[in-house]
Amino acid sequence: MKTFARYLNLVLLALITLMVLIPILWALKAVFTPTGEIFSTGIFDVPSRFSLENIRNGLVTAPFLTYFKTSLVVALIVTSSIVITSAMAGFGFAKFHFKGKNFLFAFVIMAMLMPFQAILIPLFIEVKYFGWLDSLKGLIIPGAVSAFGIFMMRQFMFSIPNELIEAALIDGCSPIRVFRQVIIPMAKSPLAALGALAFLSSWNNYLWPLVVVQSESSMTIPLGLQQFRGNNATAYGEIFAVSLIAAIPVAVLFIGMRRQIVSSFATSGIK
Amino acid sequence: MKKSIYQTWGATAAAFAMVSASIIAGSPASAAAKTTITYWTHVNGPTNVFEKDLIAQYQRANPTVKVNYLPVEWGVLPTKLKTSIAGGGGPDLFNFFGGYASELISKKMVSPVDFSAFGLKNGKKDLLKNYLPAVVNGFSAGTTVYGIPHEVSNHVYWINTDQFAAAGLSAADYPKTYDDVIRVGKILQAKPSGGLKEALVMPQYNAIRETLTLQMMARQAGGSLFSADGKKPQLDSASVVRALQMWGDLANTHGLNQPALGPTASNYPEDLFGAGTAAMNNTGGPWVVKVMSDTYPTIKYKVLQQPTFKGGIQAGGTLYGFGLFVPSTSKQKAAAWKFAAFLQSKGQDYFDKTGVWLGDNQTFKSAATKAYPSWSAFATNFAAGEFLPPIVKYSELIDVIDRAIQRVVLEKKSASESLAVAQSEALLLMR
Amino acid sequence: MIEGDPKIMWATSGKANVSKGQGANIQKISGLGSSGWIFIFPVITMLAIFFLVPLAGVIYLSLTEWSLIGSPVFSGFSNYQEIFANPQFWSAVRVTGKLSLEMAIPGALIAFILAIMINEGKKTNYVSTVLLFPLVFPSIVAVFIWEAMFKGDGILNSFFGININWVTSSSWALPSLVLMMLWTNLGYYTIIALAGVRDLPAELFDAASLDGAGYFAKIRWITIPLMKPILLFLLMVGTSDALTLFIQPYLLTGGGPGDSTRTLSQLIYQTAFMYTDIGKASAIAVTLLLAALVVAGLQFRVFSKDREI
Repeated sequence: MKTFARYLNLVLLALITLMVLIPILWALKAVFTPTGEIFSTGIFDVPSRFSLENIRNGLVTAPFLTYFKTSLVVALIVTSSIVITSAMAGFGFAKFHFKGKNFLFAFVIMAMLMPFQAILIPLFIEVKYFGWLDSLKGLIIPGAVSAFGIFMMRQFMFSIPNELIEAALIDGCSPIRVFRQVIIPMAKSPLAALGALAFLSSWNNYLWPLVVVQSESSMTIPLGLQQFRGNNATAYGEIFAVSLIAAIPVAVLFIGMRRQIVSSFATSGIK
Repeated sequence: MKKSIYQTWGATAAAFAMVSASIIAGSPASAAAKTTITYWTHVNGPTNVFEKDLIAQYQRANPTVKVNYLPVEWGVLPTKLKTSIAGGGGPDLFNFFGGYASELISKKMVSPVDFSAFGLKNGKKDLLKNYLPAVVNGFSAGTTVYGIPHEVSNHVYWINTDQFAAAGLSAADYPKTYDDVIRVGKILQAKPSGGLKEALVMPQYNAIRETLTLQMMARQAGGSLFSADGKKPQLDSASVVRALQMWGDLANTHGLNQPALGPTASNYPEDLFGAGTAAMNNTGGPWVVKVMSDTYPTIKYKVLQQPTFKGGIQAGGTLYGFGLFVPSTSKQKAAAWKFAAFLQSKGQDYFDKTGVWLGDNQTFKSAATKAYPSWSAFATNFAAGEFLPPIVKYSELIDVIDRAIQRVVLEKKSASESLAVAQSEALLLMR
Repeated sequence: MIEGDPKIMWATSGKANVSKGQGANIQKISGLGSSGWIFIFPVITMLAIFFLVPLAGVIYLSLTEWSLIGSPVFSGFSNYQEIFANPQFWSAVRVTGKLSLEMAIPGALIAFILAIMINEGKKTNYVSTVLLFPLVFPSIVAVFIWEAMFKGDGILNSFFGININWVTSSSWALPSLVLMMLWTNLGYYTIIALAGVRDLPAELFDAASLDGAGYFAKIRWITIPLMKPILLFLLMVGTSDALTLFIQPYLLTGGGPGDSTRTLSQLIYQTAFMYTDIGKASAIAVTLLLAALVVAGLQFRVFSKDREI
């Protein structure tokens, strides 16, 4: 019975994975299908010809290498910033006690609950006032901290045992040292997960870059994709081709980080 | 111990500052001391390529001017434009759908045309020499002109001749009335070929196009969605009800149109027509010819006039267009209008290379244009067609109409019921 | 009867030599007092500049009339009066509420169950990675894919041999949206849940097995209580995702058919950027934020009955 349950578990997981993959596999097929046929052929139909023109046209139409570089630089800096600041703030909110802590945390929650387009115009005016339009600064700095990240790290850090912290403090460590030597090693797994999510969120960000970017030199990939969305015809094949190519490094990153993302930190740091 | 906290903290802060400084240092330098004008338009592959060439030409002829060109996807162009204007900035020239002209003008977002910079000594009079009065009025408030027409198009009736032939239909069967459409549609669906799944594709998920179509049908029935001055709604009038009811019947009673097949929010009726999913399409102007040849080259089609009601009038299609505007926040208005004049002078080239007619009489009547595929059908339709009256609350009202159409087509309510609701919503908006 | 004591002991144990039980962590740590300010200072500063200032702007604008040119004109609470009298607003409230429930609860539950399943199985890490793939696509591309899934002759209908009007019927449009959002977000809910499940101390489970606890008993008495902070997080994140959800319904259905998928976020966007009525859009945003704070407060209250959460 136990073995049956184990097999059932594995089969169900495989099934769910497949279901999640089906739409993606369809997109993959669309990359090699001439645009005119993408929507007229069902998932199991084979297109009339295997076509590489989507990939070719896609890469040629716009300077995607530039967009890719911009997207990558922005995403990497934003991700590092979010991971570091969320870890610090999560620690501060979870393990410290000081006046006004809960009051300040309420602001963090508010920031998470606010739809971005509501603050878009005031934020734009502010950033314009700083002179950061159409620049990397404008793309990076407003997104450098994440309320989601703070909240997430706080919840995870609750489960770090206080004894460890107290022991380190008794040993004479400053709080910062406790942070570096006790907290961070124990939080590697949620930090890696947060890093992955922050990277993705920055990579796909559309609304903010839309209003900040004024010229091709600071365009990001999602903005670049809109080159294919004419108001009279949409070049689906090319959009899928470029998205999938842009997705490859991100996917590789995830697969490489897989162990960090899902590992347990329960076995680390316990002495 | 405190000292070490601040030391470590200081180090972290310094690192943070250094990273920020390197970002700042790495940002692109500001533009050289020329006049720079920024031109925003909507994404349209062939047009964008062509306009980049034009810009290169203009910059060579005017070495002190630099033009920053930014195509923005149509769906988000309003967002980007309005955010920028809110911040006191924005482009110097932008291309925008003409239906919004009254809205932009009433909200003071655009400046009147500077005719001397544009190069027309006698101002509006000279403009009227080359554009239809209806077109110029579409971009004016009262007597002041705020925009230069930059594309005029219409909706004609497209049919897939192969699918017609395969169903045993001949040229004599090409529909002229809605009764014909119904008869022919049923035959096409009984003998489908080439991937046909519905006889007729109608616009959806596109409030602008749906409004143009409903207005066309209302005019065929002898009425109009709005009064001629654009100030009063007539959504529950008999002709509009008849039009919307026919639309609903085509889909629900006769089963000739299946909304679930599309178009979706991101494709268009011509995509279904081009894929062979639908044999007939009632929207799309001369620019569709290029779409068909580029993306759907295997489809053989014919351009007809719009079928109308039995005893109704041949009302052409509803005309619509785009215009060039200068925002009131621009700091280079004269330079912008000068550049606009340059673009306008290239009407024939625009048409030849992109199938987009700028709306000027010169191109319309030229021999080169007459050689365009199916041109006589387009020209006939243009002659009978009319623009929508100028409407100030355009965005809100097309949404009202969109919802009214959805209630009939998707939720299968009656047109009179649905339009009664729409009329009361419209009255509130147009007080 | 036997079930009572040992479980409570495991769940609140301060006795296990790796005291990850909740009881031990409630107490304050002396030595971690006001130095906490150093740790939260960067984020508070950034949030103050890039969230609080614009928020103040939004609140101010909600009391004005402004269509972008010139200065906003003070108009008191008239925007609020107008939106509360508008049936479209209330429809959006209902849609947003339904969407929140249908995204947050199934999202958190399925993620939790998946996390346990992945944790149980061997060589199952690939599942969590693959579930993340949907996030690699920008929303626009994901919407294109799902349009192909939802069309009348699309993938879902032809694969299952059914004929549902997924996005063209007002009864199926919102469930379709929920389905698409679950596909999009399940990956990230799951890796969070998985990180939490992996962290549970094996010792407690072993001790429980020795005492004869069955599989589901262990889940009920150990996994769930210890995962409460993570579950609360998932629920809140799911709720906040639903409340701020805008781009996908906007691109997929444009709020229709009728108003059946028109969320408050979408109403804010269309009021601000299509109707150019910044004052009203800001009023809707402030109302949404207040409602969201109430909901968040309730969620916190429910989850922190027994501990500081």
